[in-house]
Amino acid sequence: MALKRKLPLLLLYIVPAIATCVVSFLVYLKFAAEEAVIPEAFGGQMGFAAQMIARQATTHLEARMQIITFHANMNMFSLLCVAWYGSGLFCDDRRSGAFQLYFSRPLSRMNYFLGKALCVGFFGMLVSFGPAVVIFIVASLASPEWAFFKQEWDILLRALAFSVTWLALVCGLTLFASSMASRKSFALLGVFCFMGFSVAVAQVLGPFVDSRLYATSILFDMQAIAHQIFEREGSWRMVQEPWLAWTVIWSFTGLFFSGAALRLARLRIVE
Amino acid sequence: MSFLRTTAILFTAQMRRILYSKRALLCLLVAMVPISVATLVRLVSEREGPPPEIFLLVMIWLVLVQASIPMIALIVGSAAVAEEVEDRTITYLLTRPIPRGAILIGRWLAGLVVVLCLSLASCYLTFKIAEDLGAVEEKYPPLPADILNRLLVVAALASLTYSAVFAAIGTFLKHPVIAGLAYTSVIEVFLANLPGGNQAMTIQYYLKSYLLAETPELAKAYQEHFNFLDLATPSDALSHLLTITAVALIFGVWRLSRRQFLLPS
Amino acid sequence: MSLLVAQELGRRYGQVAGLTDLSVTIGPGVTGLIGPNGAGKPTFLKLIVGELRPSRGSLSVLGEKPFANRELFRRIGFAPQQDAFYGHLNAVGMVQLLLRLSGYSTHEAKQRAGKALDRVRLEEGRERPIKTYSKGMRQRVKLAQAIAHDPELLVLDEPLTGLDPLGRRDVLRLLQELADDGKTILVSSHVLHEVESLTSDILLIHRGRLLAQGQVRDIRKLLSQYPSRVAITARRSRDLGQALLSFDEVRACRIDPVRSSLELETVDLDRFLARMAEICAAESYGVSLMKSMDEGLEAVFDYLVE
Repeated sequence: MALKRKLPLLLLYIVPAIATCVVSFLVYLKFAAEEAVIPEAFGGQMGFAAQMIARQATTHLEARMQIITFHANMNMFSLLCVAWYGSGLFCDDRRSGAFQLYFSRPLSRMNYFLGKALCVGFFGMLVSFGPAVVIFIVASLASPEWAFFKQEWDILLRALAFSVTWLALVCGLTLFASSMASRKSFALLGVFCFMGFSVAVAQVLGPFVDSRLYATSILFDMQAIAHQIFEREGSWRMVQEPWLAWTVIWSFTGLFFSGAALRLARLRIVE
Repeated sequence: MSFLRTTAILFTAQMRRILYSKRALLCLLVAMVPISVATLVRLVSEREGPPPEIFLLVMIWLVLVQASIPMIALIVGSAAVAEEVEDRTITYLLTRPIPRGAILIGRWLAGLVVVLCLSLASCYLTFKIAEDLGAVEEKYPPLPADILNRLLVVAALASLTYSAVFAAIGTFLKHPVIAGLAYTSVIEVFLANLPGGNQAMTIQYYLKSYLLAETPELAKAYQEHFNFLDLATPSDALSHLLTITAVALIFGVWRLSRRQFLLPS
Repeated sequence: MSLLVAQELGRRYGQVAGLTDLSVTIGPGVTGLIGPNGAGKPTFLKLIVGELRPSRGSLSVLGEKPFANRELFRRIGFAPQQDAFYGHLNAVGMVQLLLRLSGYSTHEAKQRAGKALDRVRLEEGRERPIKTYSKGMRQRVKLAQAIAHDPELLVLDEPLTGLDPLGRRDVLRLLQELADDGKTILVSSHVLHEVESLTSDILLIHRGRLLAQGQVRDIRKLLSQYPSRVAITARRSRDLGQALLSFDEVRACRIDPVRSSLELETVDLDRFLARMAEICAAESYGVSLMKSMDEGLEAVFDYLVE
């Protein structure tokens, strides 16, 4: 049903799709230039511009870092996708009475909940993890004798770990908001309010009370988690203790999923 | 039915509706955020706490004016017309002998009262909790005596302008909350923090100008904390904000008087 | 005197034509608007009450163009099909609010609201919020708000939906009373036999076009290419069937010996009936029942839609 509505699909996925294509091409160009192989795309000859790009790619581009940086930057897009597709899942069903149809079938509330959660997780994974997979495959195929795959195989697992952590939180938040709200727009508002206020509050509490309170911001926590998962030494982050970031993230995730499940369990079929 | 009388009837009806609705509860929660944060900081801060100028600035500017008030205005303002359309009750209003524009104005005014009450109360309480927090360092001059008044006026202007803009958006779009979120979370955050003429396209710029242009203490603290500062004069800022409000409402009334509503059965 | 005149009225929704070249006049009294789903009935009603603008053609309601015509709305009462209410208000509150928006003072609005709710027989639960009401109660509130300001023209979109048989009877009775009071009523419905009980003036719409307008019987007569079907129950059904097949005007005959009945198709009903009377008088076939099966609205509807 979500795939039938083309405009939101286009708006939400076009930027990540284009960015994935561009970065994949640059990664391919880097490996091709290193091997002094003239890419077939240039018809066997590289023009001046293409040579410049290839030279820059060889010098500055590191495929692993591209995956990491790209992956981290897709956070906001995956939040948008999950929030857009997930915010109406429960409240629209309640509003239209569709859950009465669902529960008149041999379907448990847990199955219903998991089905919705996995659906929204899928849309988030397309943006959060999908590009990493594409770039990894391109890099593996373009590198000589699968060198990239042999040397950097772990980057995909790390990207998966990060995506799962981020999407678990975002899906939980979105489903919780949807279970509490009466309309999709309220649920969307709830998701963005939470994200926005967590940053604003952290920026007050962090500098003026205790720097550990930067951990109240979800985005700062994910920054710290990314630092740990991807072993990004020297990168700037607000939350210095990764254990704190993990605790906050998984606490919120548990809270949101529990809240949504509880709301669902107490939902009356006939109102 | 005259415009004023219709506006008054719809204003009263909408006030009753908002006060018993979930929207009001959500707005109250959002308005409590700055107060809660200020209270928390006051409870745990040490005597050598931050200069109040910076804290006030960050609390009231960042949390209240940049985050809290736009959210409250979005929750209530966007419902001026959009709620009737979503509930499909706009049919009843459109088939009454009333000027269509009065639907927007009456319901917007009711929302404005709620937004104003919450934002002014939130601003006042946050200020009172935080005003004597910590020690004043010598490099920061004391705050002017009328700073609270100025902050309250900024909060009121923010409520007025944001609620009018979101109410107008509600007459054009089916999902005004999404457009409003995009504006406050992306466009304003992005444009308001870029140097140059882009800032003039945001409401935040004029609010900031009104607050800081004649309050050098706060302006200095702002520049230290946020790096750059580019301000209009307070009178310019005020006139721009009022113009934005008026234009938004005029466009909203015009659009509503011409719009056809295709409601699902 | 025509109260509603539509000339080549059309309304498009992008690529989809809601109404196409609809030319119709409606006079005083009760008119039934009938059509299958997707025929364009709600579109036509929304054009009449000024919610939508026509894409082409013209529409005049009580002598004026309806779109956003404030003065006209004093004279029209509209009960929409959608189940939409101010759920936080009670019945009196909602009707009273809408009456105040029609220009009545608070006191008068309250009185009129009470009378309108009495008229639609919503006695219990008036003080409870509408969101706690049953479907039938909500339907009555919708009707009450449509009639409360005493309009000249009532436009009712599926007013019988959700009502139990007693409720339907009450509403039909109310509509008849209103018609007797001189109101013009346009009723859209799927319940054909109930529209038939209310009025014989119908408008048949299908795929956005007018199929037929007028009295049910007159429309039927126009459908001469469709043979009339007659059902007969007789003791000697087989013999009667053989005799009837010799009539020129009888096209087909199906005999059910088990039920002692037969069903035949005739292209000239009046002539057939006259000759039937002759042969029954001449010989005793034991006829106990004879009825025409498609004088009714449903048959006319089926024929036209096909």
